This record gives sequence, C-alpha cells and structure tokens, in this order.
Amino acid sequence: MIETIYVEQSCIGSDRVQTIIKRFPRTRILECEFYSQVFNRAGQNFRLQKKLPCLILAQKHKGFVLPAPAGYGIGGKHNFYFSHMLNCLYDCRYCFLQGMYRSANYVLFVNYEDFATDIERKIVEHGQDSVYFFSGYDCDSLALEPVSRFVEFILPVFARNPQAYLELRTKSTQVRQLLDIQAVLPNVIVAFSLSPEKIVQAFEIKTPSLQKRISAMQKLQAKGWPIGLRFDPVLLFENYELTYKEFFHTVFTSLDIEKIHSVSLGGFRMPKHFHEKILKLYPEEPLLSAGMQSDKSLVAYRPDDEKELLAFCQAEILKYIQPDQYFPCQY
Amino acid sequence: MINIICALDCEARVFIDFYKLKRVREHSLAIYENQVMRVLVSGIGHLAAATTCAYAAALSAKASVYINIGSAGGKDFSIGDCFLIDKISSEIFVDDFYPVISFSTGSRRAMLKSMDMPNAAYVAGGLQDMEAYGFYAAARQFTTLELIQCIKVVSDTQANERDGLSKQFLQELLLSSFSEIRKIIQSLQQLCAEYEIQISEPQYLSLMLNQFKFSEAQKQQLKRLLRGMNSQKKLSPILLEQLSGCGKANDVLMVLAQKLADQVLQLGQFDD
Repeated sequence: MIETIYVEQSCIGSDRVQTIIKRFPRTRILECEFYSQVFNRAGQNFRLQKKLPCLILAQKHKGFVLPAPAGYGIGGKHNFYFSHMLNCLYDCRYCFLQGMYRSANYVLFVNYEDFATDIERKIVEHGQDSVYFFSGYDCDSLALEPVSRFVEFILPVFARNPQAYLELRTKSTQVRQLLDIQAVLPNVIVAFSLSPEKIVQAFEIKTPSLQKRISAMQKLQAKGWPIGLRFDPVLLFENYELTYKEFFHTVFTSLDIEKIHSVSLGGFRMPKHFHEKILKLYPEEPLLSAGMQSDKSLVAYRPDDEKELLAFCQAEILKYIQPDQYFPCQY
Repeated sequence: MINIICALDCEARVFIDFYKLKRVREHSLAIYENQVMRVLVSGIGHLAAATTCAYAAALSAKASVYINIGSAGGKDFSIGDCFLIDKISSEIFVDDFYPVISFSTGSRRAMLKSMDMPNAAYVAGGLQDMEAYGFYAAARQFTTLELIQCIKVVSDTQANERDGLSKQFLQELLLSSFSEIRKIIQSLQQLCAEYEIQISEPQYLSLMLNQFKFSEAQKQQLKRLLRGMNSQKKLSPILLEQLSGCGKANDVLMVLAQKLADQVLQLGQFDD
C-alpha cells in the first residue's frame, strides 16, 4: 500500500499525474522540486525503506533508451533497454537493485511520450535491422501497470513498427490489460522470470507463486501472446538437480512449447560494489555468501560450479525446446 | 537508544514520567534516561535543538532513534491534533527536508515550517515551530534517515492563544496524544532493531583484529567474510582455532574466503 506520493512540481498538473493520484484518494501527496531530492539523498537505508516504499512521480530528461549490456539478447541485431520506472514492487533477495539505489522508493517517469519518441528514433536509425527493446531492467514491467498504464501506452509504438520487438520482463500476474487487448502483437514478448517454488518462497519476497505465474502465462498463450521464459538467475543449493529437474518439467508441461518465443538461462552474478552494499543490508542472508567468489569487478559462483549448474539446467531445458528457442546469457 | 528531543521541560514531562526516566546530573543539559530511552530538553530555537541533538548523538550508538516531539502552531487545525511531520522547511534556510516514514501507524501527516522567531503570521496549510528544522539538519548526520522523526501537537491556532500557554496546558496536550506517539516510538524501535542487525560487528572480529595486523581494506574484507560465515552458521570455536593458527592476516582472509566459497546453500526449510 502506497502511503505517500511525491510529485515533481513540473508535472503536478499533468492529466496523467492527476489520474494516477486519483487512484490513491487516502494517500498523502507531497510536492518536491526534483525527484532526486527524495530519491538520491544520502543517509537512506534501502532495507528499512523497503517496508513502506513511496511512489515518486517525475520527469526523465535524458537517457530514455540505452544500449543493452553485451551478451544480453534474444536474437536481435541491436538491443536496447529503457527504464520508465526505477525500483521494483517485489523484493527479491538476489536482485542487484538492492545495491544500485540509495532509496527503495518507486520512481515513475510520467513523460511516456519522450520514451516513445526515443524508441521510434532508434527504430528509424536502424532501418530494416531487427531492433529489440527490453523493459524490466530497473523494475518489473507489469507489476505497477494498473497504476502506470505504461504498457498500454507503449504498445501502439510496436503495433506501427512490427520490425521492432519489445520484451516485457516480469514476475507479475497483472496481465489483464494484455488479455483485454483486441489485437495481440507478435513482436511483443511477455517474458516471465521463473524459479522453483522453494526459491520463490525463500528469496522472491512479495512475488506471485510459481503456479500463479504459470497460470498467467497459460492465459497469455491462449490469447496468442508470445511468451518468454527467463531462468535467470539459477541458483546453486544443495540437491539443486532434483529441484530444477522437477521445476523445468512443471513449467514446460504447463505450456504450449511450440509457441514459446524464447528461453534464456543465466547464473547468479552481480557487480562487486552492488554485492558489498547488499551484504551490508542483509548480513544474515546465506544466499549472498554461499558458494560465491569475487574477482575485481564481479561476484559469482566459482567457474566450475557455475559451469556445472548451467550445463545441467541447459541439458534439462533442451529436453523440451528446440535449440533455436534457446538463448543462454553470454557474459 | 531512543532519543527524544523536546524544547521545553513541560513537553518532555509525559515521557519522563511514563518511562520512569532518571535525571543524569553529570550533563550540563537536562537529560533523563533509562536503558532504552533518553529525553533531552533543548530549549527553544533551531540552534538549541541542533546542538542538543548533536549532544545526544555523542552519547548514542549509531543505531539510535531521534525524535523531536513538541507543540506547534497551526491555524488550519484544531488544538490537540497530533501530526507526524513529512516535510520540514525553514524560514531562513533554502533546503527542505522530507522525513522518511517507513512504518504505518495511521497518524495524520502535516508539513511544518520552522521559524527563526515567534511569528504571528501562521503558515497556511501546515504547522510552525522553532525547532524541527535545526533538529533534523543535525540528526541526519548521525543515523539513517528512517530513524529520525518529528511529531507535533497543535497548541495554538491564533497568535493570542500562544501567549496564554501554560506549562500545565502543554504537558496535558502532550499527554492527550501520548498513546499515538507511543505507537510511533514502538515502530521506530522495531526499525532500529533491524538497522542494528545491519551494522553490528560480526562475532570474532575483535579477536581477529587483536591477533593479526589487518590493513583497513583487509579489515573490511574480514568483516564481510565473518558476516558471510555467520550467515551460513559456520562461525564456531573450531573455526576460530583454525584462524588463530594462521601466520598472518592475509592467510586468515584466504582461509575464510575458501571456506565461504565451499559452502553450499541449504534450502531445507523450504522443502516441498
């Protein structure tokens, strides 16, 4: 439940902001000059703030669309990501966001039009080449959709640019708007991050259960939406083989495999400076230390352990799908 | 430690009496405390509040709460209304503060402007006092923002009412909001306990630091590794003995890093 909404003075009068505010009639509305006054200030504690995050409505001024990290993609020649929202409604203990931002508050950039303009500019720049846009890097793409209605806004951009692709990375079951849409877009992939239920319970706090996510995927597939499966990160734990074997079986036998757009697989890894911050926030959390080692810039499992884990998962996955559906993360 | 800073003794009295706090005579300030709570009477004005807050911080561990509690004027409200302040501005300073409220108590919220001198022209739509800004400006130096709050009870809604405020009236005013204030204090105590988990030194740290010479960077690494081993529940006298047998600090770090990398995450409690 959001109890406070901060609004940048420059956008308080906009229809979109007023519509969002009206959804929260009992919520305290505070104006600020710049969202950074609330979001970026020193001395905040991400873990404590995560108990009751606020919503900040602001305008983004630059960097709407950025190149995706190397090795990140599902077949596109040019890959970009955008962040219309900072921070996630969920609280996954392995997530790098815990170490990236000082604040756990949600920032929603309400100038959607500027995102759309930049996306279309990139599409035009690359002519007939396949261009992929990834949503869900700094937030969950669908969790706040009933409030933000960002996906509803951006889909027409991809309707008129069928050569461009949009991935909506999510753990959410907020798929109603997608189910209500008349014309499904074949170039929009709803990509679900999935983990075994015992991982969901242990580390993916506030997220829907695996079964609920599967149910959402089934509904989307029935409607005709391309579905992506994102097994990322896979985690190393005692007897992981049996757990992941059963997990992949559950997932793949619940869906129409032929209609799955893409499956990706990646191990746990995190920039060292993010990992150190998260360790300070959650010193008692065993996930963040067990089996990990670090080099100068990255924390991950030991190479042999990771190789074994990924090889096992890959072998299991490929029992169900075709190789051309499979996109392992390349680091 | 819960540090409550009040401008006046009559505002502090309800907390002193309820929590049975004892006056600590060694200090030049009026300070009352027990094992978990300290009330400081600062006097009127932002400078007094700031310096008193700094004094409290010098007596406190990093995981401490700071609350400014007192009376305030507010022409748009009723006498006795109690508010958790979520925006603090100042008559003389440019920056605004936005207290971080990471708990839900159902308390009403208000903005507040701290005045430099008593002011007959009341702020529209908010409260006014003379301490909160100075208090907050100081407190944010000493702990995480989520542990710093301002609570104000409306004592006057017109200038002439303020002139007639007696000590007994102010004391009764704070008493009338005490149960609400107490809920806020309890919420802050819970947050503080969670913050303490984050910043407490891991077991065996001081033993290792006494035994080996670590550089500052190595000390940070040692803390990280000991915390990691603690999270795996692998800190034990046997491990301590093994570490004590190391030749030098770097060997300790290598042993711990290796042991941590060898750990396998257990998820037994989440079995299907």
